[in-house]
Amino acid sequence: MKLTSREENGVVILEPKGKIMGGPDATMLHDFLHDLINQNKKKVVIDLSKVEWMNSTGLGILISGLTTLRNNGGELKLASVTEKIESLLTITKLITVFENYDKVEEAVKSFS
Amino acid sequence: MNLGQLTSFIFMASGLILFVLAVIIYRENAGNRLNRVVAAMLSLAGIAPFSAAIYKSVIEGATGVPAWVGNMYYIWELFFPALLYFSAIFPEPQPIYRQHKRLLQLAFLPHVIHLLMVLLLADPDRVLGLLDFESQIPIVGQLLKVVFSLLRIITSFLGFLLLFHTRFFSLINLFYVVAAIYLLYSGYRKIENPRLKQQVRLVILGILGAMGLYVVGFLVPDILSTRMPSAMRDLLAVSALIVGPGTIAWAIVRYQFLDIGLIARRSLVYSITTAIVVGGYILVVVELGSALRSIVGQDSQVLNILIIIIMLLFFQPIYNQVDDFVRRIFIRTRADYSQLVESFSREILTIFQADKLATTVSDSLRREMFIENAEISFRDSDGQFRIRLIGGQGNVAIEIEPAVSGYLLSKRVPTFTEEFSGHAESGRLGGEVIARGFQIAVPLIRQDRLAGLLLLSAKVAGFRYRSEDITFLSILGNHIVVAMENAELYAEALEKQRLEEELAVAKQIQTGLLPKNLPALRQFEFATYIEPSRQVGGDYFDFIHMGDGRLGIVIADASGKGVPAALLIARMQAIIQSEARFGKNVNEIMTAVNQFISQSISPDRFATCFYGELDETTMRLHYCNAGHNYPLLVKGDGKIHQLDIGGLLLGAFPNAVYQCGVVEFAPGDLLVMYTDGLSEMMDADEREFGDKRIGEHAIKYRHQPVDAICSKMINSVKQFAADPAPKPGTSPIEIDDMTLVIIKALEEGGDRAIG
Repeated sequence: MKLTSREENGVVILEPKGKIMGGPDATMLHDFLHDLINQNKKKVVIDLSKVEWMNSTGLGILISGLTTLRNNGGELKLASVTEKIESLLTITKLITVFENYDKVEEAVKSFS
Repeated sequence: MNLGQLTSFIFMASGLILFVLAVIIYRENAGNRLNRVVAAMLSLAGIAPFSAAIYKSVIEGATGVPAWVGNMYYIWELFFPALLYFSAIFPEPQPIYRQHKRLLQLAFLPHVIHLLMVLLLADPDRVLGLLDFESQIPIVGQLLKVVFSLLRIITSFLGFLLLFHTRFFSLINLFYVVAAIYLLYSGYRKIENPRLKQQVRLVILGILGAMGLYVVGFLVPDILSTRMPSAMRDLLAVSALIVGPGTIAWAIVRYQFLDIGLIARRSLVYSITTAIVVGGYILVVVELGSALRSIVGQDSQVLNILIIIIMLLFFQPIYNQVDDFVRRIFIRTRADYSQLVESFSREILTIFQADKLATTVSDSLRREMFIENAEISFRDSDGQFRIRLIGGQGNVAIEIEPAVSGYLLSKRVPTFTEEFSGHAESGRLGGEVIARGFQIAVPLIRQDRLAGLLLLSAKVAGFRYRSEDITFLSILGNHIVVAMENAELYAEALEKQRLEEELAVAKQIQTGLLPKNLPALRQFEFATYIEPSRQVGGDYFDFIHMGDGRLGIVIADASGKGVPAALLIARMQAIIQSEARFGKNVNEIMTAVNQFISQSISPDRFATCFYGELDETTMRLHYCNAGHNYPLLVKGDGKIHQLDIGGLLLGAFPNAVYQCGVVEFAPGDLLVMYTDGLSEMMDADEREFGDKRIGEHAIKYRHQPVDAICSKMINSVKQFAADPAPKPGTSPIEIDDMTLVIIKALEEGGDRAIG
């Protein structure tokens, strides 16, 4: 997994690429989110358009990211979720927990 | 050659060997007091047989030789105070040397006086005549009477000495020998180094033997004024000369007595061998020559040359044999470093614990190299160098400045610690190392990193480090590094083995947690399959018998794999089993399970779980699906119904709400429950087997017995994934835990499958 990020209107947009599978990926994303909280940046959108696949550990990363941000008064939203991951979110019912937008811009806009 | 000549020859040769020994010992380390004293002692000892040989062959029986020339022989008596002096400083200076050094120097005085006496007053009769001055000089006056009385006392004493000097000084010498042996023994008792003890023991025994023979042969007869047969006396003298210097030479060659270098030791061995062989050769040539001459009856030049040629032909192979023998006996011993390296590496390469390695290396170095203290300092994970506590368990940090470790890393060879400061820009470096008395640091380098240091203190008895020592230490350093690597690999292997054993037990426990028998219901048939990807897995299924034809059915999948996942499902199983027996609704059970699990795990860990209660009387299944892959209810007409009602996966959101779903079984209906290990199984092109294919297979096989459906499904999944030739560049696909539970409502009039 590769991770890039940018900021738009005070919202941090993370763009992981590849597969989110745990191991170093988990640590990387976890540390990244914690750094954001330390910098008091608590509005985060994860753009999942370039993520082909995630396993249960990948899901765990998203869940812990969401929990951590919410516990600190922030929010994690998802955007451009591919069909495959959407079905995963549906089965696990996580779709009911994550705010999910078709486009990154919509997700960013929803924060204001 | 008669017996007298032979004795002279042996005397001469032993004298020469003693001189050679003295020169070698002096040249090897003239700066060391011990070497100087031993050299002086051996030279003095050498004078005795040498001058005896000259006396026997030249002076004895000759006329016109002044008496003092013969008395030059007495120089050798200085050997006794030298022996005393030696015993006071060997192997370490003793208290008597430190406190009464003057006394030891004064010990030479009696012998110096004796020597002067026998040289200046060599003709006792003439001197005694001179002493009788009273008869020659008339009485001058009362005043001089006092002077004369004094003179008389002195002259009487001198006269006594001259008459009995041999006996008197023999007594003194005997006293010196006894004192020296006492001192040597008390010094020997204080030695701790086993090898040093060995060589000192040998040297003491040698001196003791030689002195004992000398006392029996010379001192005792002199003191008692008896005469021993001269042949007996010569035999004792020769034995003493062989025993004394012989043991010292042996100690040098075999036990590195006096820190004599390997080359010097070798040359010593060869010169003694050569002397013996050449002596024997000359003896044989002379004897053979005279024998042949007596047969032929004339002296011929041709004959002499012929004998020499014949002997040369024999001499070379004999010399080679002796040389080979000597090399085998003397040089290929512990004294030889190549041998030492071999035994060392054999010893340390079989040690698999770092602390034991440090102890062994330390002990062996102290023993073999006469080093007072040798320690391995390992670098721990924080980059700190640690060193064993003296005499105790555990270790303590030792300061190695980065400049020092950098310098050692770049130098890569054993380095004298005094060099450290020379490379400091300011101040003194390696302070703690030097303060602890370490003189040499051998860098132990692993993968271009300084992994530790072998630190060596000074050698015992003032021995020096030689170039052969440095070469040896350098090689030894490499062996220690290899041993360290071995130890680490061994520890890892051991740890791995331990983990595997633990996992095997865990697997046993986990297998034990699964239902041992399939449920026996009248209307339903069951088939199950479970295969963890590792020893233990994160999948499980369970059947909970609740009586009245009711059965709880669980299938669950914890996130992740291996032991953490296994621990989570073990806990889940316990919670579900206890909650299910309270007669709660399935969604209430799931809510409780979720709350329990959420409290005990971190938010990035979770489990998906499907729990259903099958009632045989109503043919209904009440269920709650907490984020699990939808179980498929395959109806008789081939339609599939997904069991998706429930709520969020378990463990991540403590306040999640769960709902209850219900389905009704008709005869022949099939419920297929599985984990994502099945549906997400990938083929070589990374395509998934998929929920759709599972549904299709279920429809296809739905009329078969439940066991057959189960095994066919598993086979299909495995065949799908089987890839005889993986594409280059693709990583092998990691298989997840796989679980499949199939429940079939018996078809009307259909027979229950046997099995």
